[in-house]
Amino acid sequence: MRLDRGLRIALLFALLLGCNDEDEGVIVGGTGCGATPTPIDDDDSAGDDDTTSGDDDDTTSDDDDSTSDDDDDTTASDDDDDDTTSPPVDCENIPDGPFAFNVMYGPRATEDLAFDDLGNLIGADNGNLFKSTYTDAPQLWVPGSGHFLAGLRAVPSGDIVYSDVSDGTLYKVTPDGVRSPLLSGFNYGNGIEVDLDGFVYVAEQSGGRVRKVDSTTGDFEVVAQGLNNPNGVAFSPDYRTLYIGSFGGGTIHALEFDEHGNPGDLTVFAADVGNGQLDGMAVDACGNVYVCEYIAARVWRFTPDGDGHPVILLGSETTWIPNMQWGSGIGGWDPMSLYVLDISANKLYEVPVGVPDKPRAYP
Amino acid sequence: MRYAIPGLLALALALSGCPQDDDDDATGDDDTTADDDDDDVTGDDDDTTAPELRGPCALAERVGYFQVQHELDYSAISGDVSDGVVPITILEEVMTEGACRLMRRNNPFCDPPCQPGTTCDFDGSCIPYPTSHDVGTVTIEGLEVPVSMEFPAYFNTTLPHPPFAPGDPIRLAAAGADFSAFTAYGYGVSPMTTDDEAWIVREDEPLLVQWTAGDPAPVQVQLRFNIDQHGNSPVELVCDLDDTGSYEVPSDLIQALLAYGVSGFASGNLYRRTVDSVEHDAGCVEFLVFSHVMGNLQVEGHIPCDDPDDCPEGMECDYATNTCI
Repeated sequence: MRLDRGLRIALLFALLLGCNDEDEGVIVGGTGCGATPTPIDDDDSAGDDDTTSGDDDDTTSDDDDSTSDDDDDTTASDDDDDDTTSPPVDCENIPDGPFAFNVMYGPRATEDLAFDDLGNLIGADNGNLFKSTYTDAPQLWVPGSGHFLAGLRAVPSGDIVYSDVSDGTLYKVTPDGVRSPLLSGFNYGNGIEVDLDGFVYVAEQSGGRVRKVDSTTGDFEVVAQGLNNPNGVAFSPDYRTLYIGSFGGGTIHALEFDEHGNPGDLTVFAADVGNGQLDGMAVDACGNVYVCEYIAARVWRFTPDGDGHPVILLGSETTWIPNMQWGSGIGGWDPMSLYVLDISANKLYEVPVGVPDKPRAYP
Repeated sequence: MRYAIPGLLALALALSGCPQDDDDDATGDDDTTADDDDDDVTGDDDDTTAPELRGPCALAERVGYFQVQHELDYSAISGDVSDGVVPITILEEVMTEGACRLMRRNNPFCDPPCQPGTTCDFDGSCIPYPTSHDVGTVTIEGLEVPVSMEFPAYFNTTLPHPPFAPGDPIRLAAAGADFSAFTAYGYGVSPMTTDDEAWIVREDEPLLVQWTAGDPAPVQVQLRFNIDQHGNSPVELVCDLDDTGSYEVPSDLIQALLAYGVSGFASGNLYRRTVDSVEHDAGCVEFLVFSHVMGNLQVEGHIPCDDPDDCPEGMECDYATNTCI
């Protein structure tokens, strides 16, 4: 039974935030326990049991933080006690940064990364897709996947989608490694975001537009155009606002969607950010917006009101950070940490930021 | 290095099932010219001659490829044969000097965008997206282990590393299915290595690139530099070189490359490789055997900084762009 989108968001939030009825609302931005996000669809299709997790006891580890210095780390569990949920979050008191980080040399990815539901980090290097676990050496998964692979994400079906800039094509790879084109004709397809229904949002950096693509059929619609080098894209926790960063323009736009999923006008969310080369984006469970500043190797965090400052400073380690994702909570990948890629040296930075990802349909 | 081992070559030729009575000379000195596609493994006048390799496909005709890839810490095979060419992959040669070319990717633009199953052509129209095809069982002999692959899984991730011995003849045979059968050839190459010396691109200066010299022809070295990885008009410098261990890229080309724009992460790649190709029903299929390393390519004047101490002597940190100037 497929739950309607709004209900799924609410349930995911309940899991994520460990809510119960007595919780006080501590979420900024109108979401969370005290202010449950507004369902997108108001028809109530749910109803049927199967949704599990109404309990409030699943949020594990309240022992906060996880600063990482040594190798015996920080992060969540290694094996069987994986938890894909996260500790409750007090959005008004999340750590402010700058954050300490742990440098990981094993995982293999350059431009973007995704997590699957088996505890793997998926990434590309030299045109080949790799799977990396938290502890073991990376394994070559799908060779010959393209030449310059940019955005890469998991979709709810378990497939991986990625953009190959060199042939302007969005590809899909099934869990058994079979690759097929999903949609072609992209003009520098770059950042990718996935909504709860499995639609893929692709920023076309040279095309100046963002497309919403059905990850099953390849059907699409243009949801934004006339943008200056759109690169990173990330949804707000209620999946009603899509943030779009500009590589070179230093601007983050916000694109609102109505209750039917129709895109509205673009507004400027933040301008003159850093050196302007804004790359991958992410949004946490509290609605804070993160963006990689590529050459300066900083990650900025903006409140939902648009106030921002750098919270991750990697300038002492690298100069190129294209993308980031929260850990999946599976196989040791910490759901309270951002994993920030270093394109230049196959390094990955594990940064405990004290707040988890927004609700995801995967893994 | 095993190029001159008659017994091994004879074995390879026997394995290949190719005739040895051709009268064309395939000494491979200046290699890559293509003649016929099926009967070329030669060995006419002495046993040390190699199968003549036909070089790369023209980009506008390249409908497929197979490659044996040797990287620093792994090896892999992959391949795909389709019935057409995605237009955006046809790079435009915008400048040539010596052994080097500047290749520009032109982004076709279609408005409205193309529907699923189609792709954008340079005239703004949408054309059918090429479909991958079954070319039958594909076998590769001459590697450390024989390989056999079936459509659609034309890849292998379980090769020994390295997967070949330098100089060993390698033969790829596709049994044929949707398209007719074809055969292509290559050679094992020595692992590509460089020192850690940075290659620094400077205005108005030639750029000396060095690597550890390796194999004789038909093995070549291809150098690919891209300093505009996140830009809008990526132009790549491509040089096809003898494997002598060094090459000086002319300053005119360096200047032209810089003029196309510098942004983001510069990448410098070196490939020691052999390239063969074969024409078949739908177009040209390439067979590459290569060893690849990424060099340390930097662009002077584009040194990122957050602090004055990040910059070399004589330069300051421009905080507006976080670049040493």
